[in-house]
Amino acid sequence: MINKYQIKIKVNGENYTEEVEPRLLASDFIRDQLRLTGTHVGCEHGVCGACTIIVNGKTIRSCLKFAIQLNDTEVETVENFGSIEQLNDIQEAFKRNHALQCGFCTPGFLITVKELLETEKLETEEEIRRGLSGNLCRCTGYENIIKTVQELVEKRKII
Amino acid sequence: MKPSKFLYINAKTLDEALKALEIPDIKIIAGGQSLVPLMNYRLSQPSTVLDINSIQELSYVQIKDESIEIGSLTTHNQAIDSNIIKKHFPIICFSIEQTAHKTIRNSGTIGGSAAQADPAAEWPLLIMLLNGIVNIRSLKNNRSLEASNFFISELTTDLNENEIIKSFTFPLIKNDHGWSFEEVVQRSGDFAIISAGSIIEIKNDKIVDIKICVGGAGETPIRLSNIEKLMKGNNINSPFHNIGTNEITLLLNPNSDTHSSKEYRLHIAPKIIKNVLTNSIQDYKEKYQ
Repeated sequence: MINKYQIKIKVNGENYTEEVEPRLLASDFIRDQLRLTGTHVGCEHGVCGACTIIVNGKTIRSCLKFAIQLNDTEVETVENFGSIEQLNDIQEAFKRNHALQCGFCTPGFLITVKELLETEKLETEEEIRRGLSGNLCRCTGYENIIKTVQELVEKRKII
Repeated sequence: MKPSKFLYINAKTLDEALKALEIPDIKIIAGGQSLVPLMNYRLSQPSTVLDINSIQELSYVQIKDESIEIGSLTTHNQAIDSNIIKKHFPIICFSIEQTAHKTIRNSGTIGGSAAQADPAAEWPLLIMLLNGIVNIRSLKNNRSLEASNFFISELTTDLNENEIIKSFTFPLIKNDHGWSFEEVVQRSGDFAIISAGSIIEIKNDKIVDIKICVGGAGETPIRLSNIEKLMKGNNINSPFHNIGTNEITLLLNPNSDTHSSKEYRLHIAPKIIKNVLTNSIQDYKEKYQ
């Protein structure tokens, strides 16, 4: 017998009431049950950062939370960023600077960069590198991602 | 890479959680940043997961008598952002900022890190260094343990199955003092290959009290009591006159693992230890002279 529990959750502004088994990871719940496949699953043990999402305003690794723990929370995934027709500022900057190649890690980076821009000073390249150190990218060699964040930090100053 | 089945209990109060701990093979989840990877690998397959994240009474930082008390559910980032901790123990903010990554620090907790008892993690080192007291609750009993009696071995503490860590008490440091923390890691956010922290209290250029603790060099973080004894009373302008490399490595007993050999750890440890001692004195001089 599978014990399922009901959870109420707001994802990208939309309310959901869903049945989940306790062992269902938040990452699998978002991808397989809500069909929001922008959140990627890489290592499934909290190392790669691809599954990073925002819960109640703070980033978490969705592979290290159970869906049932998201009950009564507000979740933001990469689907809440821009659309293909109209990218948001962070996505646009990634595109402009060629800060992605295969794109697998990109959703996690976008979410991480959003939180970093909102909460960290990012005055030096070292600080930016430390801020991004929890997300792995196998294509870019990170240089263009660092450049993108530097550009976004500059832009943030102007605002 | 999917956890095995379990029952889920979301406790709202400490009493409710303590009652639930009667269930056999139950596992407490706080931040989950150590437990869930183990469950994903099925290295841990608890019958029941007890979620304590809704227990408000476990999440706080407060001044109490001559000490600060940190609730066990306080996350790494809450500790870093706490004005009380910033004021009294800036070494905590500085060190915990090097624990994993911001995203992990949003979830990971002091209680979880202590219960996990990784000898290379920052919180266990700080709890040992700062003479932390671990306040433990069970249905029938409350007890408080000194850090040195709490950390037994690698990933092993004195905590019983029916107990929960309620909080940690850190006695305030009374004299003028300097502090320093340093760690060697392959990549920022990794567990340290070797880490060390020290606090040196000084009066009239004399060391009146000294605490030095090393992580990653044994089964638990290690207080270098022999160095503490030797350096007490030394003048801050010649603090190491009676200390040789042999004294520094005497109490260390690191393991080899995939990240580093025992020999390498023993090679770099004396340098890191000397660095934090020197920098603690330097920190004192900058603040008070």
